[in-house]
Amino acid sequence: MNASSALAMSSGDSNSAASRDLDDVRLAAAGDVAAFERLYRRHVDRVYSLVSRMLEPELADEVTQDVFVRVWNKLSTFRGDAAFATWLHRVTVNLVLGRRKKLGIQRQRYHSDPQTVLDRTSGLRPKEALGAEFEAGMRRLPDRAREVFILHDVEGFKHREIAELLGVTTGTTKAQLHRARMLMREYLSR
Amino acid sequence: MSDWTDRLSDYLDGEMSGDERVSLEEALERDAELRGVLKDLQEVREAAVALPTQSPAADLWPGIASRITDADQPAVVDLADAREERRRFSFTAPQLAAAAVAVLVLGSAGMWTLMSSGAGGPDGAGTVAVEPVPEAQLVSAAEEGSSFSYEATIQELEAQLDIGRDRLDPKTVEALERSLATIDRAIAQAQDALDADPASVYLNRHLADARTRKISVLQQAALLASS
Repeated sequence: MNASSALAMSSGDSNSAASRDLDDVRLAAAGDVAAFERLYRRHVDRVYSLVSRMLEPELADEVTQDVFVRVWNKLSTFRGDAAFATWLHRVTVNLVLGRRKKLGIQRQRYHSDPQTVLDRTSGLRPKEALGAEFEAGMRRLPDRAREVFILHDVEGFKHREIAELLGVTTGTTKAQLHRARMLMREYLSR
Repeated sequence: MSDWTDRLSDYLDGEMSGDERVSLEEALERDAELRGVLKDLQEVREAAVALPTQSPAADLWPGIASRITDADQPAVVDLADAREERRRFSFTAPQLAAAAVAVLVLGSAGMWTLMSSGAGGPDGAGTVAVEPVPEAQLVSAAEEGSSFSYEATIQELEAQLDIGRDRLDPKTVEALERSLATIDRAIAQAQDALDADPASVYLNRHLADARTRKISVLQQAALLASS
């Protein structure tokens, strides 16, 4: 299979998934719980991943449930302008950011002097050794840098979208992203 | 350190203008350390993109299903909605008292039976007709610290009760004291638990329930004492 046919198939799969979502959204908005369960099954992992990375892991189950309860309550407001997955993702981010603000999460910060970061010899650990360390490193990032890093590098949001979600400028999100990457580099170089 | 280091992420993400990009690439050719930092940042970015999706350890659907099919469950609110909710539902003490009367009418039947049978309270006291206030509003208020003043309302009701306490049958007073002590313990436990887990919807709801029960019982007793 060449790249273009693979891409077409991937695009077809994506369209098919979006179509299934739309059908189930319509049914669920009319009160069909089984349709909503299908939506849950298709999207729970991505929601859970974002929640568990943005919040403390022990809150992930509860907040993931909150996300889907909130989505159920808001289904009637989904107009279908964007894919359901995109809309769901935004609802998740909004709820998570609100929860972070509400909790006033104070976690151990990974303080670092940028100068010392730059003085280090470059070179990270081998990729295969990064997994758990990478997650641990993200958890140690300062709050705002962690938010921007996860939203941009892990979740694929654009700076403009992140700035809007966080109520800051794109200059701030770019600066926080760079800060986060430099801190991650330092953490992973240890 | 290179002056360009702070721009490396912009370079990686294609956020630089053409001229800046050319200048940075020239600096990269000259500066091995800068190239090393760029390579590391690129690896960090690639590792972030490649992070695997995580799955919850347990199936969360049963909990969701029970919440969306149980109309009594409080809705999940985010900050923006909660602020809007506060604007729409800002209660004064008299309004809260009216809500408590509604709860009195709808609930606490056991206590009412006990009190009315023990004290010979007014038979018509349970017929006060007030529109019920949805419990979710009480929960939201408890969570968001709105102008609800439970303490002030409780103090006011306790003061009313004290004035007419002598009119109540001693057995009723005893039952009342036991009920209030039980509710106070529930409130204290809920507050302790909330200190450790302030975002818990369940605990906020539990606290609101307990406070509502206390107001309801006091309201009943105050009605009896004033009759």
